[in-house]
Amino acid sequence: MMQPGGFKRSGLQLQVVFTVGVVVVALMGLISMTVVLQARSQILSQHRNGAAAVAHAFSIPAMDALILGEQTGSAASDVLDNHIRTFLGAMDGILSISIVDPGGWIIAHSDPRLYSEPITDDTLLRASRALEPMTSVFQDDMGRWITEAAVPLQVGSKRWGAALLRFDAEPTRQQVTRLFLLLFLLTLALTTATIGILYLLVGRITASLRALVAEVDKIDFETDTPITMEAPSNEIGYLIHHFGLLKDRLVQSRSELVAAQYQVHQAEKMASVGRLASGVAHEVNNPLNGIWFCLHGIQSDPENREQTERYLGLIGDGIQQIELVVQKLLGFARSQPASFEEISLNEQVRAVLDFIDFQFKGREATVQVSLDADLPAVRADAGLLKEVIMNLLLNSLDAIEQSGKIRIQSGRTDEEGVFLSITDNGVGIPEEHLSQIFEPFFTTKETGKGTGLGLSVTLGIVELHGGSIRVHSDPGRKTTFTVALPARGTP
Amino acid sequence: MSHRSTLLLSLFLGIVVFGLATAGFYRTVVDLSTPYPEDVPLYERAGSAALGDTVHVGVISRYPPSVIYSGYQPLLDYLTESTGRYFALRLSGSYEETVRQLVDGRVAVAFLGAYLYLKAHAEHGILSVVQPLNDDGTPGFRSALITSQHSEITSISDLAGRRLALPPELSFSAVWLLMQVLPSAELDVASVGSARYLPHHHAVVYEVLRGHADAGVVKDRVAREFLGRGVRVVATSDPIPGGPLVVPAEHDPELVEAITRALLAIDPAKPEFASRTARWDPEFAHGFVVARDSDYDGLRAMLGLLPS
Repeated sequence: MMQPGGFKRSGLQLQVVFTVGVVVVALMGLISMTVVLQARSQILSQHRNGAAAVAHAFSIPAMDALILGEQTGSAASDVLDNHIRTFLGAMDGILSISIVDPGGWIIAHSDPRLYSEPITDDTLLRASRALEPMTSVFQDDMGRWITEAAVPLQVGSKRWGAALLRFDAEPTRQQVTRLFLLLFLLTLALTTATIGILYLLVGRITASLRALVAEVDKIDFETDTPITMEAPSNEIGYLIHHFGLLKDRLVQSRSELVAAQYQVHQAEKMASVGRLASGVAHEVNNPLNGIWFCLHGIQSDPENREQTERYLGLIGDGIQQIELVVQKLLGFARSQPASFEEISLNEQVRAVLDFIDFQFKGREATVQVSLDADLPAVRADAGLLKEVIMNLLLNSLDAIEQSGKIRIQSGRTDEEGVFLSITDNGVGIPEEHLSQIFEPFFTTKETGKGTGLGLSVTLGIVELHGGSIRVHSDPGRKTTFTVALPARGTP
Repeated sequence: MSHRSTLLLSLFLGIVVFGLATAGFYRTVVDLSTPYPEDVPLYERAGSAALGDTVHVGVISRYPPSVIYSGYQPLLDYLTESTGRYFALRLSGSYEETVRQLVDGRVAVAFLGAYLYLKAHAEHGILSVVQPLNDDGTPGFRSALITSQHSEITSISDLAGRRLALPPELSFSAVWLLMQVLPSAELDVASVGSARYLPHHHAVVYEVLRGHADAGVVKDRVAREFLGRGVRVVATSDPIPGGPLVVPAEHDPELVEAITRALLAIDPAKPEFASRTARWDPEFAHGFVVARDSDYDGLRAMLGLLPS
């Protein structure tokens, strides 16, 4: 079963079982083969030695009979024939006995019909001429397994011939066959049992891992709910325990990070307020001067009712303008928790432009606004989004100084999102600073004119909304900041 | 091809390979075929020229035939190698038959007993050539009066009324018992329970061990073979000249020369003889010395065989 990310649920289990299975089969096979071959060698050697010993036991009285025959000058065949029959009667497993003279003629045989017959088989003839006892195992024409032992009947260089005894090797072959089957079945059973047990054990381990993965997926960093999975008393349990500790540390780190971001945010906000202060003072100062002028006029000519009414109206307008500025300032400086809702990006742009309209006064700045009327809503905190727009616009204003062009554009991105780009033809950003401008406290402005937190806070806000910022700068000609946000995305 | 199909195919191929390998191994295991070794030396019959030049060697029937072959054939193989002539044993059924074989030419040389040599020399002019040496470098042997380890017989006088086992009557040991041992205790054949001649010296020992005889006499070489194996020596003879290798009066001097040279060359101290003599009859393991007829005069005197 495929898991998200291309992982197979049973991949590890099959991999381990297959690998270990191959190794176990190979090792068990190797061990069994070695044992079988070793045991076969011992059984065969024991069988051949036994045959050689029996043949040797037969040869001693046979040679005595031959010597006696030579001493008495009589044929030894009668004695040999009796010896052969007695021996065959006393020993099991002997198929035939023959005594061959040095010329290769049979002088005694368990089958009397073969008396005085020559040996024609080259192998047998060679065995009958060997100076040392030896054995051979072979399959005869009828398919029977035969062990043949050849014992020389010889003292020094005096040779009477050789005794050739044939034994039934079928019981030995059956013994070897039984041994093979026993070890084969044992190996098969042990291998199957080993792989089966391994499959179950690995299955248990991977099941624990899967359960752990499921538990990790359920981790909620917003709460300190502990991992509820039952931890077995083994390495898996140890892993689960440490995942719990890791989760606790992550939750704590995250809360500390949020607190730090909040403090940074507030600091930047206050810094921005400071930067706004001069403009605000100018905004407040103008109506105040008007109010003072009107009050002075009223005090100078209190009887001039028409003038008094006109001046009171102007004073009211001035106070209303001051109140508006103060309300805007209070609204901007007020610290509020983020509140996400579906809002229009274009409206936030217009609000910010309206708020910092006074900043353009006294400058020869041209602001070109090109907003996409069909722009979908975004899910965002309006205050935070205004702060992003204002930071970027204030930076552009700082960049163009007294004169220049600022272009504000919104639209849709390829990924079904929205974007807002702010382009200016100010001084621009040197290429070597591009990788640093989003770092906290990085600034190229004069001391007291910038905190170095603006773009850092801006980036934090955009990422909080699941968006991104790109910057492109051709110093002295054009610099563009582009903010991309998911349309109705869930931050 | 899916993962499952690949797995099943691998499993199937694995089972097929395993089955074929098992079947092949089974055939190897149950095939017991073991041919005869190729490098075993083979018996080669002597060529017709060598067989025509065969020197037949007689041996008195002092031991069982198989014992004679075991101890004498290797010595004959040594003579074959040393002289370039083919030596073959020709057994006999009795002491007298060996003498007859010598006289009628059926054997060219023969191993006789010391007493038999005296008789054969006197009757047929048989000549001694060499006699074996003992481990002290001196020739000769002794006869031993033996009894079983737990017998009450401790001296010759205890033989009265006892059953005695003797080797063939032409052996020195038999003669020594009757002519030397019994008279020394004022006994004779009539005063012992019985005296029975047996085919050879080993038969005497077996009869004593089986309890069929109370005592017996054998060559010291045979007595030593059974010491510690149920046999006890009661008395021994004086040293007697060894049983010689003899040739008939009419013999091939070159053959005698070749045999003498080969046998006198045996030196057990030399490494090339050490392994070889270990397979010979113990009587021949220490080499030979020339046996002159005069070496046997002392024995003749002892047995009263000197011409008057």
